[in-house]
Amino acid sequence: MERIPNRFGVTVLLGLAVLAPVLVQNDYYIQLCTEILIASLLAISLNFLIGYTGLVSLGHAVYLGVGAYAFALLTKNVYPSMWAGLIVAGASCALLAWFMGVFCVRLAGLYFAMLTLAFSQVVYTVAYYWRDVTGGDDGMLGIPKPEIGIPGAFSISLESFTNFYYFVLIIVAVLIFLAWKIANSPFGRVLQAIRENPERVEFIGLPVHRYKLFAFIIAGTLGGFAGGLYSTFQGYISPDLLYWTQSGEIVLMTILGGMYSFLGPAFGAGMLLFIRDTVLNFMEYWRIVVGGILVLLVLFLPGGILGSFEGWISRLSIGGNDGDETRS
Amino acid sequence: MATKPVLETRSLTKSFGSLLAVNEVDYRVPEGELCAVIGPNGAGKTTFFNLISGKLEPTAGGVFFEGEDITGFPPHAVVKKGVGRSFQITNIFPRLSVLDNVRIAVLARRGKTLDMFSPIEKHTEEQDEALEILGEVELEHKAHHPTTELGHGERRNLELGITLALEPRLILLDEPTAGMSIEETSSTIDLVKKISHDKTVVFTEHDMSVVFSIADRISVLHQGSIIAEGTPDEIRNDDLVRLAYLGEEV
Repeated sequence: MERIPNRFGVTVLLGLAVLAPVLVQNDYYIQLCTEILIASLLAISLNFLIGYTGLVSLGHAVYLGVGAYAFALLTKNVYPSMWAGLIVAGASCALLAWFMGVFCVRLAGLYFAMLTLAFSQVVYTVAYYWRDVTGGDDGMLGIPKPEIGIPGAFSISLESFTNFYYFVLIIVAVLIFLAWKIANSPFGRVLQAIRENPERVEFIGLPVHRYKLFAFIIAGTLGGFAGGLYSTFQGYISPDLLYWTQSGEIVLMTILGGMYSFLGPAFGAGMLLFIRDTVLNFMEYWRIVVGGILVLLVLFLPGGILGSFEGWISRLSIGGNDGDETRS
Repeated sequence: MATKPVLETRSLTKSFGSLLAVNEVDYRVPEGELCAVIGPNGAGKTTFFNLISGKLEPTAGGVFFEGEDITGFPPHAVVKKGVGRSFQITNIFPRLSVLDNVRIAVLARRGKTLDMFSPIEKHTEEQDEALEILGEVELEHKAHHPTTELGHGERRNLELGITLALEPRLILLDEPTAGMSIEETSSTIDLVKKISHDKTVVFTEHDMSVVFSIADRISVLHQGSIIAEGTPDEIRNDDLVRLAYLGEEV
């Protein structure tokens, strides 16, 4: 059964997110929270493929990178506007996903994974060697945080960490809400059906390739927005964003939190970044800790942390009435 | 032949390398009949179904549904024309609820599956229809359960429900009673008979008592070719069939 985050949990989560800057009272942690929000969007976008459609993509960093470069190139070289930058980041990734998707969705399983990996490495190589445009391995510096508002009427500076945090929170919340709407629509249920049994979907009269392609484009577009936000957040980007290990990290977030839970990947993103920051205070090898947790998870909680937790809750609440409740 | 055939194959042929799995089969299904295709294992029954339903492309020959050439159509296009199919190996959506298994098919038939922004529960018409179909296959009381809680016979019924939700005018059933207990078999047979009242049905089946008790017409497939066709009585008395297939059984 699919798990839908319940209203109470979402309210608490949103409350925490809104209060976070007040609670942590520390620029460093506000920055970390901002990064977690962006990573959450990225992981949820990937989960459209992994958890919902059953397509394990190993090239999702391509959208983080291309979205980031698109934002940087536009705001630095053409026109310094936050909205234009984000829209170009999303749109360029939508186009890229469309192009790559046409080839990728014909494949399944390992072949799909390999092709997504190959495409992302091609883009990495282009970013690495095309110095004139991307700055090569030096990357791009000085990516602006353009102020938002209505010209002539009012404007809000995003230079303060708190303002920028709230800006990111609003964008991410809106996009995640949109993703949630899609996930629970008839279209979203078809994606889950494809994950379960693509052949049977074809035999209920639906062209599976086309639906997979739509899922691919949705995932890529959301990933592109995350890339745009990341670009302006860091103010500095390099081809590392596109490298396959970065893709692997997004997959880790998804599995840590739970790919069959809508918010699981966001939870995983928060956990991964929190562990990174905490462990980095003591030693450089934070990935060992993440690796250890991952091994334990796969062995004992294959549903991921949030996924398993939701599973317990729903079993507890259903236990009484024979599971015959209708969700509405 | 009085009525126009719903389904017709002309010299339908499929070879896998040097193996002729289906060999120049000319087959006609008149409207409203309950037709059985029988034959020993490896006779080409499933391949024959795969060719009609678009899962495989024929090497030669053609498939016509209601007079229209559907040869080489992909499965989803064949379904849209009005041909539904169920499978020999239970083919459902395991991690979705029983209701969702059927609801997806109803939404697909009604062209609502590209709706990305309204919650699936808001499509109450489709939900009611899905529940009605679950009633027909006796699974209404389990609508909100995961399919993992269903027994083997119930899963077969659910699969039939998915196919019925497509409102096909022709239904292909590949061994509907495969692996069922005796009680499950008889309830599924009743179901197949009920369905065939207002639909054309072609089915394969290994249980000969089932075939001879319910089929209007029987075609015998042997090594990729149809070697005999007729009413159950005609088939029972056909020397060639007895020799090739039925043996001592009849």
